[in-house]
Amino acid sequence: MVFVTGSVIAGCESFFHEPRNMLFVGFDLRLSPEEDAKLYEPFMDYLSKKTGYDFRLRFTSEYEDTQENLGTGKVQFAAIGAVSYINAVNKYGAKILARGLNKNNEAMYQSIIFTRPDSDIRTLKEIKGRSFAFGSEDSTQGHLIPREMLDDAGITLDDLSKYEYTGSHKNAVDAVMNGTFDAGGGQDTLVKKMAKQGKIKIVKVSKYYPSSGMAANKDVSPEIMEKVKKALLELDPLGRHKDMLPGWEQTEMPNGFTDAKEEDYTELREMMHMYGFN
Amino acid sequence: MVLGSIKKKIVALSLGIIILTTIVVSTLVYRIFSYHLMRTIEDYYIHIVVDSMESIDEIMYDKYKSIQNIAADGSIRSNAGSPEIIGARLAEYNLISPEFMSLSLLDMNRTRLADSHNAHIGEKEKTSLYWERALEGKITAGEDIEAIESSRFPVINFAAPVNNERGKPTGVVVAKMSVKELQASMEDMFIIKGFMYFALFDKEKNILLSMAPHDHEKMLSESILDSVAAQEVSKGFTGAVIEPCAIHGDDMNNLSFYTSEKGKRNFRGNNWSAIMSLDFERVSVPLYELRDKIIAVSAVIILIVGVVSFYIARSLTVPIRNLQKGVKRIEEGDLDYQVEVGSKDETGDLAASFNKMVNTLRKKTNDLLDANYVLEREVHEREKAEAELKSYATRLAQSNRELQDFVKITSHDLQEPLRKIRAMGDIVKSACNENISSRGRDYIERIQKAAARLQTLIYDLRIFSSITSREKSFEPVNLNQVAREVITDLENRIEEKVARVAVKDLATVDADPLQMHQLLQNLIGNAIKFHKKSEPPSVKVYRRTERKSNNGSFELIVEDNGIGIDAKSADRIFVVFQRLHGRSEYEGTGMGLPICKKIAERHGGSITVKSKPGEGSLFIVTLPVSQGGETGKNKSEQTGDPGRS
Repeated sequence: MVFVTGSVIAGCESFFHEPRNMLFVGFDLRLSPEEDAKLYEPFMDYLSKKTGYDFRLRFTSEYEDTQENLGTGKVQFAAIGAVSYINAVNKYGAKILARGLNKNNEAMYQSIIFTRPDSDIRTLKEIKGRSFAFGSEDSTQGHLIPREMLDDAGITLDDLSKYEYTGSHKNAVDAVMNGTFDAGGGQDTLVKKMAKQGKIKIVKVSKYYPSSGMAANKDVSPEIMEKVKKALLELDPLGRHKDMLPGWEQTEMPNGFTDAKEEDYTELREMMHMYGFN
Repeated sequence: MVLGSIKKKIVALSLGIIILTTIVVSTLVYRIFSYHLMRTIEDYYIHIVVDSMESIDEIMYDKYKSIQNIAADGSIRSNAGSPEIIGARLAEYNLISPEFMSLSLLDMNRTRLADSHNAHIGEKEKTSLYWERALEGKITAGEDIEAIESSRFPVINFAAPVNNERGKPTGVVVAKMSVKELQASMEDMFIIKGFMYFALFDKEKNILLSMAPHDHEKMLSESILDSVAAQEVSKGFTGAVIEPCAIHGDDMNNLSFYTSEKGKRNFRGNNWSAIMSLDFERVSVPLYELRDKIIAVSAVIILIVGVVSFYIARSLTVPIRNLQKGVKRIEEGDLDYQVEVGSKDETGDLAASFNKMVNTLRKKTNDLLDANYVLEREVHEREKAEAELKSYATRLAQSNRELQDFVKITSHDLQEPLRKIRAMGDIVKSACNENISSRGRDYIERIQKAAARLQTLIYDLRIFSSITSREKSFEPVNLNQVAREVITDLENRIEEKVARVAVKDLATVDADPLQMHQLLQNLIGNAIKFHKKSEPPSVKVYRRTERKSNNGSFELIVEDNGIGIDAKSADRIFVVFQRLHGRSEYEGTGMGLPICKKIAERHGGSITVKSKPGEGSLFIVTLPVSQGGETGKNKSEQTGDPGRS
């Protein structure tokens, strides 16, 4: 009996018998590593199951940036904003695979300029001469789009009393909430969520820009890239895969992914050039 | 034995089920847990390797930045001061970056201008890769590694071109760093259980650094280059694989984790690879512990189930065996045997029911024995009574026979003296006619009359006693004919009394013809005899209309218009010698009706009378039409009448 049980269960030791090559997927930290892992680990399982590769989560630490990790090959794939993506393409030849779909099933996102609920700022123009918190310097929603919005309102960086790149959307919101800055710009989903809770006030919402997407390191084999792209396009987080991906609606791609092309980013590329992002 | 096999079956069945279940469950549990355990092991060690590689990247990036900064240092760039001043400056940098073995400035002729240790000043350096790269304006950080005889660790050359303010190359800053510096951040690996070796090698597969807890470091690090891990990591993968490996001839499995260097920021790295190998046996100790625990728990469960099922089986079979024993004892007749009622379950109930059944059986058997005893007693008594009866009947028959013989003899013998008395009377009357007074004559006549009466009486008695003893068999008798013969016989009396006798439509019955004659003669005779003085007798003989209920009987009616009988006397007239009237009124012996009764009864019939004084009488004789196969046999024999006379 013991022999039978022993021999039956011994089969599990084949775990490492074939090389278990890992593919790392980079994500910017949103809340905390624990909470983000809860969000994204099921997504890794989905990709592993779908493609047969071993997908691992890798959050971008404070001293790294996603585009660099993707570029150098620390991660093979990354969820990446438009600006980071364009930089990664320029610097490292990264490839876009798919763009995230928002709640309205659009592969677009917006930025929002916000202030404290008790602030006297009502329009963008009133921000002139006040302090402003951006997100990460490389961020599309946290920097590029707010810069464009301020520019449209006739405000340049020189017109601000002070400004800072706080490093993340969350930090920008925190900086405005605790009074360090008069106004800030950031990701639509997060700002709307905080505004709903009454913690901040929306000043202006931008037009739509191509959303964040999933990009691959240039050295990833075309075969793997194709499989991953297929898995991303087939992801159905509101339907078939709903139970598999708890809390997925909090991400930037609540509705899954759609095909992405290099041309989608032309306008943003020009904006980046204009504001000296490269 | 059957009971043994029930026990065995229960034990075997429960063991079979539990073994199967245990195998399935433990396999599942083991697979799930071992998968997660392996994932945990994988995550744990891959992080160590990746972190180690990142710290190598960090160090290399740091040194890359350092050499870049030193080359950009104003005092070095201007090449203004004396070699001592530049040497002091380099020494300052060496203090900031103590990992560098030395920091030197070469002029464009490869001659050492200055050195952080002021050593080998003026000596010309041999040409090398970093020099060529510097001439191309490139920074070298990891591309140029040289072996040094005095050290077992190779030396990494860091170099950057130094340009003057106009951008013209004036020299090259060179720093040397032992690969040992990279090892420092990896020494923690020695405390990893089952750690075999760590190897760092460049893309040409030159070993830069290898670490192993034993002296087989070199052997391992060389064999590692042909491993699956090395092939995978050369494709740029990070991962894990298990592969066989021989150390000192021992076959063992190595679990290797591998990753490659990626660089950092603007430092692109050198695409070095690292492999960390662990003794899989040691790493998978938790797995074996898990397996052993599962097997142990399974074995305990199976053992417990085995023991429990054995006891359950025993608790089931013991009562059955007791019952079987009980059945055997009862079969042998021991109805006092009681099965032990052990448990309170169905088998206990069964045992209790069995005992109850045995008690009932015992009670019923006892009752049956008692009843049997009573029955035997009754049979015995009946047999005794029957024997007594038989002897009594025999004696009775004997006595009857004697009596009949006596009657026969006496009646015959008595006739003779009586006839003599009468004859003598006649002789006396005729011979002594004159000598006898009228008074004497009267006396003689009285004597003769008495004698005649006695003769009749004796005759009647003979007939009465002979009725049961007639040997003549039954035969179909036409009663119409018998009645006519009787009327003929009674012709004188009919004429004397001016009587009318009507016979109408009688039946033919199975009977003794002589006795039928006697019967009708007595009844018709009586009807004529007991007539009213006021009117002549009228007798009707007929059959009563048959009724459904008379069961093949025939009712013969003899009706008269005579003096009748009162109801009180109706029964007495069938008793021998019972007379209702004085002899002077109506002569007779009082034997007529008893004879009729006896004849009717001998034929299986009866006789009754309906009458009122002064209104005539109606005698009803019921006779079976057929004697039912008895024709030809004497009824008296059939009814068990004792013997014949």
